[in-house]
Amino acid sequence: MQDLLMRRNQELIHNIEVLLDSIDKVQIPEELQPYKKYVVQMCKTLQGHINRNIAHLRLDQIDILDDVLSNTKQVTQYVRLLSSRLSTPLLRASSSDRLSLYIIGWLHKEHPQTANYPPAFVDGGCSVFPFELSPVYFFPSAEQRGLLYQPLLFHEFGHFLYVRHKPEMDDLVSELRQDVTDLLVPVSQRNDRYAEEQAEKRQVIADTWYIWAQELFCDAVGFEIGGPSFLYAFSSFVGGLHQGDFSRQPKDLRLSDHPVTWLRVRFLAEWAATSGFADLAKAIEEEWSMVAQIIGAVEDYHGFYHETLSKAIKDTIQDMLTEASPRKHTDSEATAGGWSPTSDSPVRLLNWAWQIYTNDYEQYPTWEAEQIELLISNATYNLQNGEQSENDKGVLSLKTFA
Amino acid sequence: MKNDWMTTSSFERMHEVISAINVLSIHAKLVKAKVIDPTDQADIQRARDRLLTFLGRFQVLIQNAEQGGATVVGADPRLGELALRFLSHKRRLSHRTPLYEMSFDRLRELIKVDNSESLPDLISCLRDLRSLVEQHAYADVVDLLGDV
Repeated sequence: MQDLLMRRNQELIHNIEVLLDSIDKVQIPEELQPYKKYVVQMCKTLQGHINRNIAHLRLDQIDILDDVLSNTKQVTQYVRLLSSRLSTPLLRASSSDRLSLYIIGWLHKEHPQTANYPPAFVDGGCSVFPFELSPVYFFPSAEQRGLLYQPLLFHEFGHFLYVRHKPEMDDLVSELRQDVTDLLVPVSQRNDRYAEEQAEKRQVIADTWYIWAQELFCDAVGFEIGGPSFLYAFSSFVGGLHQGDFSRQPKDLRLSDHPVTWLRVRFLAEWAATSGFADLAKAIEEEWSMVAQIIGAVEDYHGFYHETLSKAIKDTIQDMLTEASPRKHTDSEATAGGWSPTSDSPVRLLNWAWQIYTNDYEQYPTWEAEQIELLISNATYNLQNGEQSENDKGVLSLKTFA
Repeated sequence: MKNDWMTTSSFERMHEVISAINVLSIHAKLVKAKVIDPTDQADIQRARDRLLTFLGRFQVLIQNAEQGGATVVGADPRLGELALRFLSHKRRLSHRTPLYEMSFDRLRELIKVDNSESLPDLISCLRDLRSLVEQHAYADVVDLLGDV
């Protein structure tokens, strides 16, 4: 066993050297430099752990072999995580990454809890691995090259904000889960098979609502940061005009990744209406209602949601927003109608993009290309003139490895 | 239960717990064998703090779940699943292993204090706790890194 573990640890050292060599040789956009430093630091931290495993093996203590075996498994998993997930934003980097990297970097810098985290993303469906070590975003290839769907990154950022406030957020969500289960599946007073089934059903609904509450929170974060641009992007992107966007079978609702899309749109629209965008909210709700009518969709949440929960859900999301404190879009960012790369945030540009797109679809591609060029030129100028981002000032502490 | 953001969170948390267990287990065994542990004292203390923090939260979860089949709502579902797994093992193994026999307060005491008399119990508890957590964490590893 000792020889096997020694060999495994030597292999891990070799794998890390291969990764470090590959990362060193690859050409990356300037915005990825902080992430590169972070990954290199992580490799070195892992090398330290492997060396500690080897030092323990050299003690020749049979009693600790099971512990060294477990430590070797742990390091192996992290080396594989590096190889399969965390190094990909570097090893598959492209100059077209700069727009989304800029948006993610801006998002992180605007929030004290995330300011030290470098931006990184790879191609994929809209998603995020919100590692506390450092998050990796996923964003579709076509959408990452344009402005219209960048606001969807604000939703994904919400998941990372949740992680950064996890104990407090979990407490808030646990109160909601209790309210939801009490209302939807009252505790059985019996002591038989029926009671067991009820208890199981309560747990499934409670667990489903852990997921749904976080998704609704992330939708609200998206709107808080992006304003109308998020509502447009969200409604347009998720509206697949499919029956499943309006209702799903109970087995598909059980522990599902997201609430029914129509429910999300309704919460978002209400959120927008109370934030002063009543006309936009009404237009989007009407659009969804019209599609529902045409395809004959009937609202049915099969016991996973009831209208009486609406207030408790909205109150919880509001408390979560207060806790996480995402940057709220300003009036001028929402009103848009123009944008200056030197003095405005990207939120104003993204709202302006939707205004141009909805008013003059044919002119939009030319206009968009010009704006992206302006944004990237300005970002390049800032980087060349020594604007040092928070996440470039020092490598993150690798908490779980310390 | 599969969900990218929940999997990453669970993966990191379980890794932190297992690493802390390993540091403390190696240390306890080397102390028992009167061999000098090359691990920094600061790393050992950090592992102790992390494990105690985790056990504090886990203890509350277990206590809530033990109250008459109550629904587990006090943590994310992955941690809730671990709590239910712990209770299931406890029902089956309570008289066979110290981990499921002793109270959480006693376990926390064992971790806090370097006492040579209690080292065998501490080593046994850490081994069983690691086994429980590793079995649970395997699903996260497969979700995140895939399988061949």
